[in-house]
Amino acid sequence: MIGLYHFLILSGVLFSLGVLGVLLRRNALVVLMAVELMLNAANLAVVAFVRYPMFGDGGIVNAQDYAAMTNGMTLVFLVMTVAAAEVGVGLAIVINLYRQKKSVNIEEANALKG
Amino acid sequence: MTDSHLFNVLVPSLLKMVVIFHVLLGVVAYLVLVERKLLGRFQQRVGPTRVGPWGLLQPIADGLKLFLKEDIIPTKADRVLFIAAPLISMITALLAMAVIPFGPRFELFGIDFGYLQIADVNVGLLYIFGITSLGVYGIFLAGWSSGNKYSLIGGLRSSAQMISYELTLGLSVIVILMACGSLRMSQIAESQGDGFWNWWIFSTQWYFIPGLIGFFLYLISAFAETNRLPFDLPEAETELVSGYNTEYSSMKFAMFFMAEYVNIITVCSIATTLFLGAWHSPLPFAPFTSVPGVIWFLAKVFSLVFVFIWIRATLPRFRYDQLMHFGWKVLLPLALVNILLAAAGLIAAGSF
Amino acid sequence: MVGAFFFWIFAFTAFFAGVGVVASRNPMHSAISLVAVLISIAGLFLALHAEFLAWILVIVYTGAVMVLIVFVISLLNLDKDEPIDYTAARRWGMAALTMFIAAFLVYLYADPLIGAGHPAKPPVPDDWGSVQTVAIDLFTRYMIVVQLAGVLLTAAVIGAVVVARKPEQNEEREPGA
Repeated sequence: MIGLYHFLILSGVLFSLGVLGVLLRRNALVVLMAVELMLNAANLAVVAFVRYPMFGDGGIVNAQDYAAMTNGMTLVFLVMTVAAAEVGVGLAIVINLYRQKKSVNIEEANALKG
Repeated sequence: MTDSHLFNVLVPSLLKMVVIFHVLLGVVAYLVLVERKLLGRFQQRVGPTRVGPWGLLQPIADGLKLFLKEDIIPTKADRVLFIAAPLISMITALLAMAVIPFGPRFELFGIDFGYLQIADVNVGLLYIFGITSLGVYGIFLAGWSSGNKYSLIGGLRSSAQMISYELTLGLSVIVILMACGSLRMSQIAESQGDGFWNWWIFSTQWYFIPGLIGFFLYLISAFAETNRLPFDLPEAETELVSGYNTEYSSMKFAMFFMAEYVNIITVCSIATTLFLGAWHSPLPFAPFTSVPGVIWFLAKVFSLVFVFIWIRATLPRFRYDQLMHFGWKVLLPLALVNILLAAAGLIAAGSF
Repeated sequence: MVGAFFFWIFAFTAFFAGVGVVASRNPMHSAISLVAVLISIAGLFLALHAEFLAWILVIVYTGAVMVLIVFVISLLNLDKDEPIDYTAARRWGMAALTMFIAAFLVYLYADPLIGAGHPAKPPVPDDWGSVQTVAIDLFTRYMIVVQLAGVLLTAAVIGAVVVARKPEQNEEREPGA
């Protein structure tokens, strides 16, 4: 029987993979992709919570109230919007970085290092 | 789910799937012949005539030739993606056909088959856009993984072109959603019965202008999406030695070839469903309505396919900057204005 | 039964493709793996009755965002394998940190799993999670948020153009300045 926690654990594992990618990789584009992976893992958790609401003791909500309760989906929709904007600007920065350094290694972007 | 219920759902779906799939692939094979014949006519030639009577066995000969050719994978190619690319192209092309309603509801042997449509999903139109947006990867990965600069340029061009024109494609269809209020393909088709003046392209419900503009915007961006002339820059033979599929041979090449033609049929079917009244006859009385809906649907689809071939024989290729200029500075604003027009028309007609 | 089957298929695809994103040395392979992850997540959204979000995920992410990333990878000619020259200490430190985060998350989630069992899945109408339910929310209660999202996107577009634009001929910058 598949339930909420299956989705949550998968979401947690994917999020951790994203963290690993951000920490381990030095290619700016791959780091950007790992961030996207984390965002989507979080989205998965939100959507899972929308489908399996936990209110009160037994986690049961009034069925009628629940049918109108899609705020979580709205949230995910807005997260996707923001992520699209973020990728647009992020890629522009990567292109600019490449133009300055002829590489997208994030460890070489240290011109402001004190 | 009881056994009989499962039977009643599963058997019609499977039957429809098998029939639509096979008819589609047969049509694709002969579409190539039709295109060559028509191009011949347009250019004062006769087209293929050697294999079989009037060249009718030409598709079989072509298929056999492609099957028997040696399958080459270049040494500089990225093996996994090189093999995956034609599969992605073919699968996405075929998947998009799943939600197209070819005909009205029908019953056979007392079983309700529903619409002549494989899956009547709630968000049919979104599904189509999702699947076709995946089609970019097939062409792009083919170009990238070949390890050939012509292929790479072809792949880059195609991804830029397809992202740009997908916007117009989506926006041109939004006017239908505004008027119809549903994303379900069968429901959009049902909403256009009783005569051609109810088809969304001419519909008086919003004073027909938004429908007409939307249809032509859709058609133009569909040319770009399917990489057909005048927008065939990804495979421009004369400058890129056929672009993304230069390095492909044998069955992999055949898959790209088939995917292209399946895509043409798909975009024409979508245009028919959304704008041209799907399976409804143009006039709502006897001699027209007694023709089965599927025949009307196919007739409309093939008229559009004919337009595709006609345009190919008529127009020269765009230059790349012209293509981008046209997509972003002409078509996109026009599509946005068209949405405003449609909204104004709907309010004026009192259907909001 | 059918639901469980699809869950495991998508979950395993998502996991292995996620590993591919992090572990591929070639950025292009990372990107394609991420596309596979996103498609699997879209499939899981469908299993969670969120049809609209599933297809929006496919259209927005795989259809636009990832194509853009893939485009930049091949445009900047970045499809070279990244050298592996981490010090062992650094590599193990990172792995340990990630393992810790993963263990923490799994613990957070799995604790109630062992204790109480899954919360119930309430029955919903057929078109729940489809375009209309989300759209009604978006265009009534969250209208201002939608407008702000539009402003944000416009700002991002302009920002991206300004940042990525080639410097003018007369104000040529020193490389690395």
